[in-house]
Amino acid sequence: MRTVGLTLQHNFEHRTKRPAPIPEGLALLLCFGLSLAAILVRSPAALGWLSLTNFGLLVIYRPNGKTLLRIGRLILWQVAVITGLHLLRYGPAAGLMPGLRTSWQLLMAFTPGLILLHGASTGRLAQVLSRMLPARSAFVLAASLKFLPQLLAEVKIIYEAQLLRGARILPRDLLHPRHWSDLLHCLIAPAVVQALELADNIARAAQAREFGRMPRRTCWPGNQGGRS
Amino acid sequence: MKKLSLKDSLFLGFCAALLVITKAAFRWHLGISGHAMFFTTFFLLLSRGCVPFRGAASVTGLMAGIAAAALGMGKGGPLVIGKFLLPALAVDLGVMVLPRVLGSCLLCALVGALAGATKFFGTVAIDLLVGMDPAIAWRHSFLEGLAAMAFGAAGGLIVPPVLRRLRAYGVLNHQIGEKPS
Repeated sequence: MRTVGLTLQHNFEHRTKRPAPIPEGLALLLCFGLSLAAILVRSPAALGWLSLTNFGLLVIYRPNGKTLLRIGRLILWQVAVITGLHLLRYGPAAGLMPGLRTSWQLLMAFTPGLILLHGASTGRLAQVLSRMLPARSAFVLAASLKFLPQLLAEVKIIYEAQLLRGARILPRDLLHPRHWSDLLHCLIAPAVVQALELADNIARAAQAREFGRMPRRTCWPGNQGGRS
Repeated sequence: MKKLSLKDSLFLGFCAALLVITKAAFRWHLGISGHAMFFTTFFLLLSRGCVPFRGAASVTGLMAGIAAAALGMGKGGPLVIGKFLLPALAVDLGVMVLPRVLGSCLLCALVGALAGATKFFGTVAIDLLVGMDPAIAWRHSFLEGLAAMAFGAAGGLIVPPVLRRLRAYGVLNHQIGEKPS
């Protein structure tokens, strides 16, 4: 219980201070709309406008080089598979343009989320989600996303402790199938135990705060100074 | 039907969140078609194995789908919910039909492959929606579905040893494969 309280305090204290370029609610709607538009539009002109909008998002969120590299890899893979299949089916003359258009459409459906994930605060996104879903589901989803970094940090501690104990779970060890059982028994099973324990702690902390008693007060705080 | 407890809901939420982030992370690094189904079937079967609730995998799939759609992940926009929900329904159906599935590696691999096969439907729906030629769409979806089945089966294979270990630790109070609530 105390751990959960401390983590909550930690989360609020360490929230990013940089203001979001676009309010998270609007960014989520924009992302949803752009992805949907990408799979529905057909004309090259509409795709051009969509590409410009996505480029605008890139300029606004200014993702780092690593994110841009990932987008680049995605473009290459997508174009290679889809265009390759079109070329095989229709030949170079008739297959090239439809293949490139479809690849571009799928890329436009994927890019907004990629930019948003790297540019927006996960905590704030979780708060926005909590306004769209039923109270209990919103709490569960928001709490899971909020406490995920803590769970991952604890899994990392388990990983390092198991390495010190001699478990063969380094990436180079895992190239050999003989060591895969170590991964299951020394990392995955304890990580699941940790997740169950964390879920139990959060549930107890929420129930101690009368979670579920009032229909409108069971969401995670909507603002920084809010109470649960 | 017994109501899902808050602790169990939160655990399913963690499974959903882990499913979404692993799917996102490994897609970028490997770029191998269908490999994300490995994590999907693993987390779905794990959630069903750890929580004795008939629709546990579907709840996990739905939460993962909502999170992924809201964050705009995946190629399908809002249709991405179906990409998580369909394998989850396949897992719940598999466990309902074969109650002892979670104790057997072979049966888990079979259910994992079944869950992987659902990728075919999600892919074909998106391909046809974006206006791809039907012949190409079917072929593309078949390739994706086949790869997803292989990775889904591999993801299912590793669930029973983890569940057995959890049972040995005394973490799971219910018998694996018992009649669900």
